[in-house]
Amino acid sequence: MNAMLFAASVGVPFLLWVAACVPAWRRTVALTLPIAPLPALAAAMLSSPGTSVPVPWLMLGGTWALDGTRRPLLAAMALVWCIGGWFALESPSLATKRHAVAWPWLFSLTGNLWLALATDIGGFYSGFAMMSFGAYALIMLGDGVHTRAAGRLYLIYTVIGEMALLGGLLAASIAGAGNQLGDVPSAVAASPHALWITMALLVGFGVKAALFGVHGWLRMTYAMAPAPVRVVLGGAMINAGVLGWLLTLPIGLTTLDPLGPWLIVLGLFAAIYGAARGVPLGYAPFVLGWSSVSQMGLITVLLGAALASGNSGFIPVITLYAAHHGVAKGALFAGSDETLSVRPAYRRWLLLPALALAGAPFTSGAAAKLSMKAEFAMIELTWADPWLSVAAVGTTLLMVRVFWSTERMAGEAMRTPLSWWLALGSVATAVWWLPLAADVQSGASYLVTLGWPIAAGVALGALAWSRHTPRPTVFGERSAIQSVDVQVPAKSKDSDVSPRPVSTAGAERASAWDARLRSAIPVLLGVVLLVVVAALMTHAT
Amino acid sequence: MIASFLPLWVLASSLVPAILIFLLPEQQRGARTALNLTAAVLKLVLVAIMTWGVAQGTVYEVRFAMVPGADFILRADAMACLFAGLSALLWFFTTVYAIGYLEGAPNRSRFFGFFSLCVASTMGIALSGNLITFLLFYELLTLSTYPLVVHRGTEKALAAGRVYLRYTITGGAALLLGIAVLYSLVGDVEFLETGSLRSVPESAWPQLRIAFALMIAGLGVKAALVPLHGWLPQAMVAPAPVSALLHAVAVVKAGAFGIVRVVYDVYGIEFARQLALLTPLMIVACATILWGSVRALAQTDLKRRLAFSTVSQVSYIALGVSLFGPLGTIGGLVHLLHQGIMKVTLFYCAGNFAETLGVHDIRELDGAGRRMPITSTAFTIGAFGMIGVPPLAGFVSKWYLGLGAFEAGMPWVLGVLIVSSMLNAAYFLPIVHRLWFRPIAGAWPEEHTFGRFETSAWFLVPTIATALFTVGAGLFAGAPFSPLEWAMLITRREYLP
Repeated sequence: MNAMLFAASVGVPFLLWVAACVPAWRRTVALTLPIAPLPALAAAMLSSPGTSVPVPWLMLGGTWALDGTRRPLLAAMALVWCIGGWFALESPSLATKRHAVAWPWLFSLTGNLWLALATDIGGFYSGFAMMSFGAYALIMLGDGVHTRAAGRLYLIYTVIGEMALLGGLLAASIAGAGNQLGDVPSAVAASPHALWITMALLVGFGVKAALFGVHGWLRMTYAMAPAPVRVVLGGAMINAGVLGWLLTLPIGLTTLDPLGPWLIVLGLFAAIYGAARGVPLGYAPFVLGWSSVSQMGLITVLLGAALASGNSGFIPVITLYAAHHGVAKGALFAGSDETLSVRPAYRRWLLLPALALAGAPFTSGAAAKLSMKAEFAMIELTWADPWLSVAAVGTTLLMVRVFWSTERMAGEAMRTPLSWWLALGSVATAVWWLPLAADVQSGASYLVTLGWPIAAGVALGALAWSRHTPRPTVFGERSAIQSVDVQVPAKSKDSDVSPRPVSTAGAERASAWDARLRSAIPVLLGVVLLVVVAALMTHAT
Repeated sequence: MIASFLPLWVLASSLVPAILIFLLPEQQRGARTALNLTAAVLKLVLVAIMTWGVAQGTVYEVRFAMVPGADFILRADAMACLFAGLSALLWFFTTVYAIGYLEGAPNRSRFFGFFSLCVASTMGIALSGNLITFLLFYELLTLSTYPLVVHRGTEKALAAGRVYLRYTITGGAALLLGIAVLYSLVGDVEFLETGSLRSVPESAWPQLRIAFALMIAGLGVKAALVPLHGWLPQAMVAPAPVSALLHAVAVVKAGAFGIVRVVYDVYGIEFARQLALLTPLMIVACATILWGSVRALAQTDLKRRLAFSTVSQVSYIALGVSLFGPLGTIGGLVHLLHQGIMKVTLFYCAGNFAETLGVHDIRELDGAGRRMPITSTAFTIGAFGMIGVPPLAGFVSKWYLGLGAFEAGMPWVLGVLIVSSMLNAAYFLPIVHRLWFRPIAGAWPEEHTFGRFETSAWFLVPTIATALFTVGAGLFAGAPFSPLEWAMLITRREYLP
C-alpha cells in the first residue's frame, strides 16, 4: 500500500506527462492537472511512518522515503500544485494555452515530487533540475512584453544555482555522504571545508528559496508568469529550496560560527527590506514577490539561528513555517490574478490567507510564529526581537497593500473559480493538518502578542490608503507594471498559440468532452478534498 | 575456435562489406542498403556477444607475426569493448541516417565504401592489442575519412580536406615517432591492463617521457586538444552523417581512446603518475575544455558551434584520464560513451534542420520546435545532457569527474567543470530557447517535406534512438551493462590490486 502510494506519487504525474507528449492529447491531459498531485498528497497523509521504497534501478540507485521534514512539506507542496493545477484550468490567463500548459506543468510537478521523496543525491538533484528547468517553460507562457527577459533572468539564476549545488553536493558526497542525501549533513559537519560546502548549498537551494542576494529573478518572474504559475512557483517550488536546505545543511551537528550570525543579520535585513520594497508598489504580484523575499528572510533568520546555535529543534519550526507560508502564498497568488474578474465580495476572502501570513490568532501563521518565538527564546536571541516585530508590521503592511492593489482589479461579476475555495479551505484548515508544534492558545496575552503588529500594520496601511490613490510607479518598476496593465490576455504575440485547426466535428466533440470533464472535475475534487481533509484531521489527532 | 576469432569477425563485418560496396554498381541502391544494414546489425550482434564474454572474464585474442619482432594483435578486453560497443551502436544508427541522407545523391558507392572502411578502422583501433597494430589502423582511419570529408567536392570541402590531412598526417608522424622511441627501449609494447612499462629502469625515464609527449601530441591531433584542434571546425563542411561520425565515434574518439590506451594500458595509470605525466595532460585538457567552450559561444553556424563544443567535451575524457584515482577514471571512460551518444544526437538534429528546413544558422532556428517537434526535443535532450543537467547522461560523467577531482586532491578542477558547464549553458540554452519560445520568423530558407512525419523517417529513427539512449544512460545509470557500470568494470581491472 505504502509502496504503491510512493510509486503513484511520482508515477502518475510522470505517466500523464508522457501522455502530454502526444500533441493531440494535450488538451485532455491538461484537465488532469488538479488531480495529478493527489497520489503524492495521499502519500504524505496516509503512508505509515518509516516506509521506504527501494529504487535501485533509478539513477545511481536509492530509496524513496518520507520523514518528519519531508512529510509536511510534501503535503503542502502537493496541495499547492493541486490548487495551482485547478486554477490553471480556470484562470483566463491560460485559457488560450490549455494545450501548452500540460507538458511543462507535469514535467515540473514530476520533478518536484521526485525530489520530495528521493533520499539519494542523484534522484534529489535530478528532480530539482527537472522542476527548475520545467518552470522556465511555465514562465514563458506569460503574455507580458517582458516575459522573455524575465525567463532569461530566471534561467541565468537557475543555472548559477545548479552549479552551486553541483559543487556543494559533490563536495559533500566525497566528504563521506556517497550517494545518500541523509548522510550529507553529518559529512558536511565533519568536513574541514564545512563552511564552504554549506555556503554552496545555501546558495544553490537559495536561488529557489528566494534567499536574499540570489532573489533577483523573483520579482520579474512573478510579475510576468501567468497567475497559476505564480501559485506553484511561489507556493510549492519555493519550498523545494527550503526542503533542500533542511535536508543538506548541518543543522544541529555543528556551530558554523561566522556563518550563522551573518545569516541571522541577512535574514532580518531581507525581512524588513522586502517589506519596504513591496509596500509602495501597486501591482499585487510584485508586492507578493517582495513578501516572499521578506518571509524567506525570516526563514533565513531561523536557519542562521539553527546553524549558529547547533540546535536541531529549528528543523520542525522551519518546516512548519515554510509549509504554512507556501499554502498561504499560493492562495494569495491565486486570489490576486489580474485576469480574473470576480465580484469584490469574493475578492474579500483574500483576507484569510493575508491574515494567516500576517500571523493573526487562530491561523497557521500564528502557530508558526509562536513556535518560532519559542525557539528563539530557547537560544536567547533577544536582540532580534524588535526587528522581528518590525518585520511583522511590514508583513501586515504588505498584505494591506495586496488588498489595496487588488481592489482595483475587481471587475464585473464572473463565476468565482472553484479552485479559490480549495485554496481558502487549505489555508483555513492548515492549522489542523500541519503538524503544529505550538498549540493554538487563547487568552489575552496570546491575542496581544500576535495582534499588535497586525493592528499597527492595518492602522498604518489604512492611514496611507485614505490619503493616496494607488499609483503603481516606484523604483523604476513602472514599465513592467504598465505592460502588464495594458496587455490583452486573449491575443498573444504568437499566432501559433491558438489551437490548431482541426475538423469541426472533432473539435465540437472535444469541447463537449471538455465541458463534461470540467464540470465533473470540481465535484470529484471536492469529494477527494473532503476525504483528504478528513483523513488529515484524524491523522493529526 | 570460432569464438576466439571473434575480434577478427568483428573487424571483417565491416571490412568485407566495404570491399563489396566498392564493387557494387552505383545504381544498385537496394543491394547496397541491404548490405549496409545487414553488416551493421551483424556487427552489433557480434560486439554484443564479445562484450558478454568479456564481462564473464574471457579475453579473445588473435595474433600473428607481421614482421619479426612485431605482432599483429587483435584483442578484446573490457576497454576494447567500451569503444567497439560505442562504435557498433552508433554505426548502425549513422548508417540508417546516411542512407536517408544520401538518397538521390551522386557517388554513393564511394561514400558507403569508405564509410564501411572507416568503421573497420575504428573497430581495428578498438581491438588493437599493441601499439603497432593501433598505429596501422590509426593511419587507415585518416585515409578512409579523407574521402568522406571532401565528399561534396566543393572548393570549401577540398580546402577543409587539405587542412584535415595536414593535421592528421603530421599527428600520425608524431605518434609513429613516439612509438619508435618506445620500441627502441622495450621493443613491441602490448596493451595490458595496469600497464607494461613499470619495469623500465629509472635511467630510461626521460625517454619514456619524451615518447609519452610525442604519442599524446600525435593522438591529441585527432582528439582535438588545443592547440591541435584547428582541423575540426573546418571539417564540419562534410555531410551531416560524416560530421556525426567524426565527432562522436570515429576520428575524435579514436584520438581520445588512444590517449586512454597509452595512459592506462601502455604506461599504466600508477606508473604514469610516478613519471609526473598526468599533470601536464590535465592542464592541456582543462585549457581545451575552456577554450573550446569560449569559442563555441562566438559561433552562429549551428554545426560550427557543435564542433567547438566537441573540442571542449572530448577533453573531459582526457581530464578524467589525467585525474589519478578510480572515480576520475570512471568519469573519463563513461564520458567516452556519453559524449558520443549525446553529440551524435546533436549532429543528427543539425542535419535534420539543414535537410528539412535549410537552416544552418542558429538565428534561423526560431520556432523550429513547432515545425519539427521531435527533432527539437532530441536536440533539447542532447543540449541539456551536454550541460550536465541530471538525470541525463552528461550529468553522470560530470558527477564522477567532479568526484575524481576531489579524490585526486585537485578541487580546482571542479571550478573548470563548473565554468565549462556554465559556458555550455550559455551556448546551448539560447538555441533551445529559439527552438521552443520564439515565433516562427517567416518562410524557412529551403523547406522540404517528407511525407507523414516532420522529416524523413531515415533521419527520425536514429535521432529518437540516440536521444533515448542519452536519457537512459543517465536515468538508469545503475542498470547492468549501462555505460557507467561498464566503466566501473574497466576501472576495477585497471588499478593495481
